[in-house]
Amino acid sequence: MPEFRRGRSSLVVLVILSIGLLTFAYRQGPVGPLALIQRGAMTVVAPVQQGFATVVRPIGGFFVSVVRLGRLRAENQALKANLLQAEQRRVSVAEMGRENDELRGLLQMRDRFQLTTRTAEMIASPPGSLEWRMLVDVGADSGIKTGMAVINNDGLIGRIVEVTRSYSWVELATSPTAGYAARIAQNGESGALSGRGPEPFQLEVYDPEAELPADAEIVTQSYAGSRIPDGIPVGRVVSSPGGLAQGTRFVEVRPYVDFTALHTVLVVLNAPAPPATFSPHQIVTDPDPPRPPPFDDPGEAGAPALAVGGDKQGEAGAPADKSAGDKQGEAGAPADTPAGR
Amino acid sequence: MMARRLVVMALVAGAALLLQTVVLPAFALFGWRPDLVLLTVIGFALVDGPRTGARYGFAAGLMLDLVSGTGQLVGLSSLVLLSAGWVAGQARPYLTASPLVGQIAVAGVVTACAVLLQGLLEMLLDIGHYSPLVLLQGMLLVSLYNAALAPLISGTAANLATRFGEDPLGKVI
Repeated sequence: MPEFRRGRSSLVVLVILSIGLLTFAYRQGPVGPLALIQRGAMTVVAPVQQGFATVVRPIGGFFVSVVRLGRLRAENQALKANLLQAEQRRVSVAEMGRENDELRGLLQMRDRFQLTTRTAEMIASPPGSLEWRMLVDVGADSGIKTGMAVINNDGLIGRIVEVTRSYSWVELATSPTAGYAARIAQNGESGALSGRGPEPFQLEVYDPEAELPADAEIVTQSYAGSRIPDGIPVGRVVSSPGGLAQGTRFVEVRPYVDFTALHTVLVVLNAPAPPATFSPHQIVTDPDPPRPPPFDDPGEAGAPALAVGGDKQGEAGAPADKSAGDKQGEAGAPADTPAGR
Repeated sequence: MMARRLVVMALVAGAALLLQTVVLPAFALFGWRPDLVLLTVIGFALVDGPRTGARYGFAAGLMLDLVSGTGQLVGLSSLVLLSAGWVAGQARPYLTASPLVGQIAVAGVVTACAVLLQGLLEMLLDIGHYSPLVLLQGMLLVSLYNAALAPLISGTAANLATRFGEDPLGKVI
């Protein structure tokens, strides 16, 4: 009986100690003595994990291949089917090529963003079952900062959430605490993308009236202050819209990235992001307004009055209005003006 | 003898941690993978009883919390693993008839409870949001994984515990 009591008392002490640590860690946040110890432990353990990964990964890879043999066979079948389909569609390749050239020409009209990236190797994941993060072998010494996007050739993987000199933690996009601005590639409708652990992502479409094409592609959307590049592929909508909920719609998005087979990834170093705030020298206080066209141009007599604005309206706007009114008959007035009727 | 046993326990925890973080992510099923550290806690608890289970669980949990980066709250895994060690240790007297089956059953049940406890604590502390379906899926898959690996991992931990004496932590703490 005394032994039982002694055992119980030590359990109570340990529970109180754990709750005390938990409370302290919860209150201190990402800064404080416990966070400092965690960073120190990470600096010590990460190289060990890296060395261990170098040794065991090839062996693990063999076993993984054996385990996934069935899936690889299925993938092989699917690829063969795709190849057959592609051959059947070869007739339209010329048309697609022409369209492609045209689009390329249009794309040259604007600057496309150029991403500077840093290659990183995934070393380890956290020990807990309910954690969706990965440790990578690049840190502050390689120019890595928190908030940077992590991608691979399939699309978005996640973002950097913690950085030491040589290592960083990546919060996977599947994490239930992860959220991204996203849009539907086909129609540009915006939404908020959130991770749900092992389940597909959830996209909350802001516009309840928005049209959701079947199998729509979802891409990232940049916003002020974000380091996530615009237009990075995320996945495809897999479910039909789940109906209205508080004025918004929720859809499931199947990620392109296979989060169980991550090895080499890219950290985006220079995502062009709109600034969260403007510096004083960037703000233009008195923009130069457009000048109205000459009075004697009958072809534009109806339109210029609408284009006039700014400080010069008083001197240029009134005559233009008048001119428009006088010339409506010959220049073609808008249908909703009295003269037009 | 006691010092050697402590070293062995620390090495077992370290090896389980390395395997769990480096090798097992490749074997994840729907994002869920076995919890080897928990299996070592169960193994030691089944040999030494609830006191060692709770103490080793606390120490192993603290190690997990510290190496997981600042995203993990220190104390969370400690609380979960010490509870798991205590519960597993309580089952020790009832496993004498068929230790292997008992070990598998305890590993499955305790793992399911540990995943549930961790999920509930994370939701309570607002650091994770899981649907009941996700939690249920996690409980099922991780406990199945652990039940399958229990004879190997918990069994090895239990053998080492037996070989290097009994309950040294009781004299240390």
